[in-house]
Amino acid sequence: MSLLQETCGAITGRNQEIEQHIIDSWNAASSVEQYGRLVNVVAQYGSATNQETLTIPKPCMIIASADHGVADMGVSAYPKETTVGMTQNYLIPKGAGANSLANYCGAQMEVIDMGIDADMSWVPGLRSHKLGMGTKNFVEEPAMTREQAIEGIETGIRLVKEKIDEGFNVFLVGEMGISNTTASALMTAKFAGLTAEEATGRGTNISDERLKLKQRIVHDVLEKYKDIPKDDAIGILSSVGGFEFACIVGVILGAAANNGLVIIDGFNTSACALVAKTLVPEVMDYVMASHLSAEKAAKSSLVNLGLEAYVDLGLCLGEASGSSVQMGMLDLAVHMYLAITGGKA
Amino acid sequence: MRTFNIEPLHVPSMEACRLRIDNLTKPIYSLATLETIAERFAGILANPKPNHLRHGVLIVAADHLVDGPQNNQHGSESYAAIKRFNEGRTATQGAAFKLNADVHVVNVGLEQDTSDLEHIDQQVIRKGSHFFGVEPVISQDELERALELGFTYADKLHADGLQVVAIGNIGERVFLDSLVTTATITGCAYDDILVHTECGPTVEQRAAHIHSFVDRFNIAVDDWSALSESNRRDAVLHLLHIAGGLDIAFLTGFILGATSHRMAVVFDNAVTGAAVLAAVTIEPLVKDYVFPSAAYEEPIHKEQCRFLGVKPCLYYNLQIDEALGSTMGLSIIDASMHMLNDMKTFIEAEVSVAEDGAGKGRQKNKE
Repeated sequence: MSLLQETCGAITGRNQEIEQHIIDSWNAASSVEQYGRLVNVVAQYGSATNQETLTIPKPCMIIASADHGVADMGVSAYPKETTVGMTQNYLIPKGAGANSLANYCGAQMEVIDMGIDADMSWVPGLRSHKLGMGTKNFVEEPAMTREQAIEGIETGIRLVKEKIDEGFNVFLVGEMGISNTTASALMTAKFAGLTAEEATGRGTNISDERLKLKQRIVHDVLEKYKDIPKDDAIGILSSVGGFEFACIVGVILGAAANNGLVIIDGFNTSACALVAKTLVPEVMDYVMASHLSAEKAAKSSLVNLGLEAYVDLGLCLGEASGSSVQMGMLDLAVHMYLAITGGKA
Repeated sequence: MRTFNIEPLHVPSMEACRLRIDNLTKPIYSLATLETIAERFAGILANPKPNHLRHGVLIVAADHLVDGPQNNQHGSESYAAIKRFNEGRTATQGAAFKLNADVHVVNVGLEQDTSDLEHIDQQVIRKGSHFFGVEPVISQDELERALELGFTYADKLHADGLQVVAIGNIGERVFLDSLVTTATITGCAYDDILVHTECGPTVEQRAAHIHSFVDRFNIAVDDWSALSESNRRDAVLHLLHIAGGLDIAFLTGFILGATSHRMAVVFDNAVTGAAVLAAVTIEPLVKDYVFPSAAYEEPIHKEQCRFLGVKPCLYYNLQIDEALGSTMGLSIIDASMHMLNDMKTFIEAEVSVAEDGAGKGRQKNKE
């Protein structure tokens, strides 16, 4: 049995007894209706991480980076080498949005090269599991093989298991890869049945002209892969996805199988969650929404996941920015629960 | 009411801050509200790169309509709530602890005696405000005392070094006075911000009922913008005297005092929102210093946000007051400060800038 199969088989619903215990304890101290979704957030955290006595969350941010073949067609506002630039930014100057918001919520950062089209051996602290030097251009051929997709997923599973063994229990997932919102638009369109126009947003704040190009590409690629059904998660991921997305799918599945909670970020990680959900619907017990991304199809994506955002700051960055803000709120909510019920922070 | 002076935001600091933000290693404008928060704080503090903001929480306690027909609790719910604060057992205090923010709770008008609660500031002006169907909610003297107390707390928290304060309230039957205050300032109909119920009188009937009590006091203003500054101030003070209440008056004074000290204020629900409306109507510059936080379903809050042109960012279906929403808002401001101070520019991080879109030309590469 492969690691992917074993992991999917190990995912069961979260602990309902713990969930109810948290709600009942809160309600006994102070009526839960007043606190709205804060109660759900704490209850999901406690039950997903299987904690009978609730502790302050220990978050880890996982950023996966990779390049995309479609970048050569000029769908981003940034040149392709920005993937290299930003990945080294996470680890050397440590000056990206991800770094700042990891500092905000107290998350340790892990960055993994899943397929950047450059030698990255000079970047200290960068994990590496290149599936290729960027995906193929899905306009011409599938982004990757099914085997590569599964290998990417299993890399994510191993990574998150390693961090769970170190004691981390909440995972903020983010990604970096120039042109990757083209891939996530395609994935979301396939899973959610959207048109190219509905699914395609401005990503890195591209001009109207580039947006038209991007939409045309998405339209043509949807037509090219129209015979892949929406329940073929690996098929969709391998044909129009990204190496970094495969890793994040694995992080989500691996967390769910090992009592970790994943807070997804925006449009790109929502697309990854759609893959995970299609493989194992129960995974959603371990997935928490964060913010409503300003990317065009973000709301459709969340609706298809059965989720609703908690935070709306108009963010459109990725890099686990929205999930970091929700992590900050989760942390506050756990402190609230402990204060109300007389537990200790 | 004492005189005060509120300065506009410092534009050069904001411009310098915005230029830096636009050159941070991200697509331009991609951190949206976090960026505008940072930019406004630059203007508030006259510092292009503010950091390590010192923040606190201020909660005012007052009961409303104590002589009205719906006073069945006689302050027991408020007393239970403030007692939890005294014991440190509230969600607000749990969140504030995480944020390293001190929580100040001041009783200005609860119906029940709280002198046994040693951690609560006792500043009782009156044990609850009236129902305006009987008489104005507070006397002119009580109004002046509540406003001045608010100013005094602003002075105190400023002297303590605070730069941003989350405000909140505790109290029974707060919504009617918040509703009338809000509707009078925004010009909306009472019907628009009353909650529909399945049974009992319709919103139209309830609105007419409120009018039957409050109209005799002549609080309506046809066009606030047509009033002079002094007439506008007097009209707001008359409104607070008739239908505001001790907490809204206290918070109005606090907001005016805080903003005159260049302190930012985070508000949340209908009561704190009503005080913001009152303060902003007295002095429009206040608007630049106030920040929304959590979204509430109830229509008074929604009308306040619509009128102010602000959008809350936290959607947790909260119903509780007690500054819980505004304390959560302090954390969002924290996130904004991390963005501003921890991120590097494209030049500093040696990353390529935008070649297309709004970032092109605005973001600078290393020469």
